[in-house]
Amino acid sequence: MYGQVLPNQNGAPLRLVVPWKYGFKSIKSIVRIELTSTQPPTTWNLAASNEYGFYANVNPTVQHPRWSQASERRLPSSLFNGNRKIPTRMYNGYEEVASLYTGMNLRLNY
Amino acid sequence: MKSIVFAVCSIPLLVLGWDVANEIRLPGSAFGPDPAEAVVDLLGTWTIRFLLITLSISSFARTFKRPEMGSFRRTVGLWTFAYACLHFLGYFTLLAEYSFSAWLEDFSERTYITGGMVALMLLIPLAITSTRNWQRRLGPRWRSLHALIYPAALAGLLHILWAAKASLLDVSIYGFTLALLFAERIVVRIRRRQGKGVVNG
Repeated sequence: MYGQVLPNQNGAPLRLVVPWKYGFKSIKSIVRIELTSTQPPTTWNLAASNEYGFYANVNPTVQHPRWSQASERRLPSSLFNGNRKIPTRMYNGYEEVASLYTGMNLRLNY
Repeated sequence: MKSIVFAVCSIPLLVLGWDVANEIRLPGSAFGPDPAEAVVDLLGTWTIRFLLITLSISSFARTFKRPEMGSFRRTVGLWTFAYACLHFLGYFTLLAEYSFSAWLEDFSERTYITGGMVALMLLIPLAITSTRNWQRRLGPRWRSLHALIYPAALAGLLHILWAAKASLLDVSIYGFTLALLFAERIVVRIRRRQGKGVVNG
């Protein structure tokens, strides 16, 4: 990582890094990789399949069924400063991963 | 007695005030990582609770044959309106950060805000005409006007449902309670039409 060899406690020899998603999703130590022919269900997808798809990327240009995703609030906030209206960035600002989704209709694959 | 009811209705607000004071004194100590949301949410929670309590007063008065309880309905009803106003003001100051354009954006982009505004609008004429003076002026039409509490309650429930992100437990409990309160009223009307209860024997 960052050009250096990963020390063992950082999940060497192999870990997953998905910086445009919540930190806990960057799993520290891969113990098994399973290849399947069908798309597996995911947390958000299971919670509300009509609102959250497999990829669960927050897309500022595609509205969630009940609310706009164009802006976000950063937490922690304080009582009188709600950190309102920070424009949501595509892939949380990690434009370099856009290539992973090329050709996908992001309205259908959300 | 009415002053006791009044005082009891103020308790959630007093507790909130205490927590707000502690939050100001020591930021992050009273409401968790999102204090603005927590405060607005709490005010909203007490709005729907007091609304349901208001509706249940008539049900209790009828069921336990204590018409004098009805006098508390206005006190609790106006407290419901007070919490609703504070809930909106909390949203406008803490979340919309005093921005009318932000409020307008939310109103058009977030369906739950639309529902919430409708519910609040429906409560306003009820609060204004809550006095005995207005009851006299409107006569029988007062009852018809105050039937607006039912669409207001439904709009409130939709507001909560549409805003729900994780758990539907709360809105289900409120919805179930409202259904019971509706059911009581329907039963009363049916029995009234039948000539309330056949004479014993």
